[in-house]
Amino acid sequence: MSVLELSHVTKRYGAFVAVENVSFTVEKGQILSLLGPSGCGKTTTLRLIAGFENANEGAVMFSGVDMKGRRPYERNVGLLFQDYALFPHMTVVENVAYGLKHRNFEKARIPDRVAEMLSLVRLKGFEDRRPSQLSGGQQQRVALARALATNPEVVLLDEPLSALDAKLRQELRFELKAILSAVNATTIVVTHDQEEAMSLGDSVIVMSAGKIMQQGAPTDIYANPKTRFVAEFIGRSNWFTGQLARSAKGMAELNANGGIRMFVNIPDSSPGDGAFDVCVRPERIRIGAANASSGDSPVNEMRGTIRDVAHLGADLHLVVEIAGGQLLAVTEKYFGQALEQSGQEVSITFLPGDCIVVPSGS
Amino acid sequence: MKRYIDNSAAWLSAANIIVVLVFLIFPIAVAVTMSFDAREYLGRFPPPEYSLRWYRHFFSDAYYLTGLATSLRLALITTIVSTTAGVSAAIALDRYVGPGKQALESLFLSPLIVPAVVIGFALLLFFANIGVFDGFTRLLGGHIIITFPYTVRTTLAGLVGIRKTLTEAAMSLGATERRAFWDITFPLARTGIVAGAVFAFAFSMDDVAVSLFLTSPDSYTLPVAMVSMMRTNFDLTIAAAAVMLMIFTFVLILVLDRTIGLDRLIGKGVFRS
Amino acid sequence: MKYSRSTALLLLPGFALFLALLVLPLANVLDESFRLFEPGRIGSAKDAAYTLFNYAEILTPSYLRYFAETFKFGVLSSLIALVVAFPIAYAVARQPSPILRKLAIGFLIGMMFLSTLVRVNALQLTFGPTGYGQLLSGLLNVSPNGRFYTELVVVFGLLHYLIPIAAITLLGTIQNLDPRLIDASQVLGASRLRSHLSITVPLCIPGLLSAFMICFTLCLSAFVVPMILGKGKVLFVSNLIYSRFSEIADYPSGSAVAITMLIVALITIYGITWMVSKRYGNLK
Repeated sequence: MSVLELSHVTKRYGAFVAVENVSFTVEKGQILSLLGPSGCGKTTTLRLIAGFENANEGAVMFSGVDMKGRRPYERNVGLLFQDYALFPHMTVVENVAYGLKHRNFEKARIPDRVAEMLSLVRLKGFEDRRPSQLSGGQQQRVALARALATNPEVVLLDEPLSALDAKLRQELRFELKAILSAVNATTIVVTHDQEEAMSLGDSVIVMSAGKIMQQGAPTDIYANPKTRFVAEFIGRSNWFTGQLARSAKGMAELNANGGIRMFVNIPDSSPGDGAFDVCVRPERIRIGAANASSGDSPVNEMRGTIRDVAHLGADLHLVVEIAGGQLLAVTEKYFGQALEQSGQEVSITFLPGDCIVVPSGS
Repeated sequence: MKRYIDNSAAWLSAANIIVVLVFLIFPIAVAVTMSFDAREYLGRFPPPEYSLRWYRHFFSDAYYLTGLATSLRLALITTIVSTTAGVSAAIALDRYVGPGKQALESLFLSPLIVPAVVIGFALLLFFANIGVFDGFTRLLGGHIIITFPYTVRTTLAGLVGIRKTLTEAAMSLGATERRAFWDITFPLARTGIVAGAVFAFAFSMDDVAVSLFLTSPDSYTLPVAMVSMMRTNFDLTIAAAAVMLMIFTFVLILVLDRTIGLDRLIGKGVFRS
Repeated sequence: MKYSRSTALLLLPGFALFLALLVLPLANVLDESFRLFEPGRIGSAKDAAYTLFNYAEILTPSYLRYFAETFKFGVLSSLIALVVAFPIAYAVARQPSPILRKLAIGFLIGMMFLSTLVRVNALQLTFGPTGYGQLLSGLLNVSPNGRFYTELVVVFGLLHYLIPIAAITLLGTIQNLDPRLIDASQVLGASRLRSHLSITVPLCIPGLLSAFMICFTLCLSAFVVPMILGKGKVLFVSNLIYSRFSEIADYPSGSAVAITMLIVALITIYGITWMVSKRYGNLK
């Protein structure tokens, strides 16, 4: 049985539908990311699970038990708030012990449990500090220890890393994942940051306008987005729009706007004809002419002019202008090669298999 | 030229500050000095000799002492009633979401904009009509209504600063709404509540305009006693009493600084009417 | 609404106090203000006839004088207080040393909290006959017992509590002002004074207006200052109400004056507040 199941949950505020017919399950120890832009309903979903809001329709079930009408303190969830919500008038120990006291944890064992949690988040020696005396990263770890201390059935993380600066975020992301897996926590991460969602989650749900757009493993969502919204929201993308015509088995030709023609792979099940959008990820585009070794599968090759080269450490971000004035983003790894120059004429190539086909305007 | 104008403007501004400082402080200094005058009569400033005569006189005068006792008792009860009602009203206002929130808030703050004399006069009429003639009860009524808005306002200012996620965090950790209120909201709002109580006490101790209407021969406050003495006889006992009131103010400022900090007091807009 | 019952319960004590100690008494005053007064009684008779006489009386010159006097002193003192307090508030707001700043704010708050009686007594001793009354009136070439000197001392009395309040109110406004605006103005070639006149002062107009409103309403309800320092020569509306009560027990007349005064105060407050939000709402 799933630790958490949402079944056909809908939440309305007056005429506004915040969450519409959302269903998913989370298994023991799994980390699920809810990803979407602000206002997509992910935070409302989190609040429905925590019990701060009640669904108009559908059910939230913990291990098969319907939570309908249960107040937050009658559910066993651990919640890590975006602003951490540490109690400013309590010490680190008092903060971590707070849930233990109110969840009827055996009194004599509270100090041991608090110590155990603090060593888990590597905050030994900070016991008597107040939240205001801690750095942002330390505060986040106290909040995590507090949320995990009561052994919650479900751990909810609301934008867990957004309040930290970029460098700290990298470190803490890894640490957070290690801690969650150490206690085998069943976790839901709510975030608008795709890197955060994909690096933390075993599974990712992309939401938009209250609805689930797609669910899958991070790599699957990145490689096979079902809609243009998902493809654009996750990762960078170049788009071609036009009419698709099936040409051979598993292959179609796109007559894109601006007179561009290209071959794309499509599964046999797909209709294959009509208006489609095609996405090519920047790292799939190569600079340089095609070599003949690709056998009989066609290669898409275009001429273009380099308009910008940005050197971002390990990566090179290039902007290439192709026919019709369309600008393409291209990413290359940097390993000491001679850099292309702005204004230089180049050939670019990508394979039909690198093209992601989604219904037009989706 | 610009520089010349700037320099004169800066000079003028500095002169202004000095003149104002002198204007504010000098009379106080005169009063403090005079309160230690050793002469038996009200003589010219400065006094030729100093003594504690007028302080002794204050503490041996039953008229002043009765007023002081009444004032202290009145201020204490006023503070308790007004703070209790003000805090609970502020909590309700902070929680309440919906139409009329703003109206409700300005309703509770409205005694601030009614001139004190009007409140005093209105209460005098009203109490006479409903048959309340006990001086202390009437004074208590007047002092409660003039201090109540301050306790509402300071408590509200304290409550508004508390993030809602703190209460939600407590609830997600197993605390009921009531528990979360006592564990989280109340301790964090305490500075605002203390400030309100201090204001209530101070304004009750200081009021003249309302009290003057509501006193009876056996229930009168220290300020009322001082006013009637000021009008009838020239006597430095009043200066001595004033110096003691000043010390009281000073202690008050210290308490406020310790509890909320003077900077925050201004930021909270406690003084806007 | 989960909280609605307990919320209502929490509002109850406040409502009760509010009703019993403000609404009903004011309703009582309103009713009384329309009653006919028979001299010799204390207040009106229970079944006295309704009349507009008490209000008509206010329009006579002898009554209007009180209102005119209150307004004259109110406007004059408030304006002086603002002009004098503004540079002080500015100096405190831009004071770099935290200790000096704290001292200054503590001083202003202390001066504001100071009991009115302490001020009045101090000013009496300082500017009275045993203090520097002779000297100052001599310098101004007026009689120390004359009307002008008394009026001057009343203005001093008002200023002594208006200046700290005005400074503290303006302090809040100036603190919200970006100091870089003045830097920018000077980089663009304006003198410091010119920068303040063209940047600081216009941006502070809403603050100045509300400070004026606070000062003016405080003057409107000033009571002890004119009563003691005015020596019977300067009387405000407050004093008129008090004398209706203490001298001739003409409650209906006192009520009418009280209602009029309340209306004037409300018009002043809401008028200025409305003007600030309407005109300058976009500055905030």
